Amino acid sequence: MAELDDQRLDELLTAHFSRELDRHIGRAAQAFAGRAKPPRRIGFAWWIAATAGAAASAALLFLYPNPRLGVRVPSRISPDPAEAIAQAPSAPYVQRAITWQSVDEGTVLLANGAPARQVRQQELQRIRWYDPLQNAEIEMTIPQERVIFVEMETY
Amino acid sequence: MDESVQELVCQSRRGDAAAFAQLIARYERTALAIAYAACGCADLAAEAVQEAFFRAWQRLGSLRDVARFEPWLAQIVQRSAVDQRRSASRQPVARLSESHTDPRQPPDPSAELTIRESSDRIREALAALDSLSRTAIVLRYYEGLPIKRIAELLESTPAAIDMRLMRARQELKRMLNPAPAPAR
Repeated sequence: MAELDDQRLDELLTAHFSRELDRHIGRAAQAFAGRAKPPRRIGFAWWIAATAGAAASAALLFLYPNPRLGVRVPSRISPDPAEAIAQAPSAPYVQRAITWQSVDEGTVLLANGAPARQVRQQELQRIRWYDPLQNAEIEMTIPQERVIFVEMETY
Repeated sequence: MDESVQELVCQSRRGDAAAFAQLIARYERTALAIAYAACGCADLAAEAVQEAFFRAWQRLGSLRDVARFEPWLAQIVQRSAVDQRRSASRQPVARLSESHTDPRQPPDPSAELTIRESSDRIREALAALDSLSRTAIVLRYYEGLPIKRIAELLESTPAAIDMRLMRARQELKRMLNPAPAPAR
């Protein structure tokens, strides 16, 4: 490996930081959107409207009791995102994220006596989708693992 | 700090979440750089940045001078990163820190090993620097910030940052240079 000059050091550092940090760009905005709620300011008119609405709902329930009212529990959740998409009345969402990680397990000798580095590659596939028919959000995680041998140079 | 940022800060203080989201978009890279320098791990840095922006949103009312938003945010990010590092050391977990997220194909293991070795050496070299120099280096090389802006963010002087950067570069070069081959 050649000695590091200024330009090579600049390239090395820039590439390293990009590789480490670029994949996290956008996460803060997403997290903020999910957590932040603007301060609630409820005016007097809102209190009157809400109270009147609640009173009207209570009166309706009292006057017209309906035995069918109750919490609806999804009877069957679609196990397949493709099925959920096909049945969706409007555009559904499906999120798919695959993450790989390689673990270097050191040097091993292959059957022919050649040295190789054993790398265990782990894969985690996460699929998340919304089934509009059942009004349910489903998440599926599929782990996989494979072992790869990387040939080493011998001198 | 330009006027548009000050306006966004003022709007955010009035509870405008959309304005604050614009501030996040504008400062996310800077925050990531500061957090990464403080905790040395990209995953922890990302979590620290999320937490820091949320804390900043909640505490915007305590910011007395709107023009000092940047150093104020930088301090929150630094503290959040230190908290993350501390809590991670108490609860060690296996992290997918070297993960590859291209869904089209798995990475080439050989190339990945080379990159990992290089990354490990750079991380070790960065860890050997003092905190201010490390932060200046990450802001310079990741964000590409000029020395004057780094000095403003870190509440230092441009001359001091310039000196830190120069020494840090020399130190990194020394540590990252391959060891000379043994004489036969």
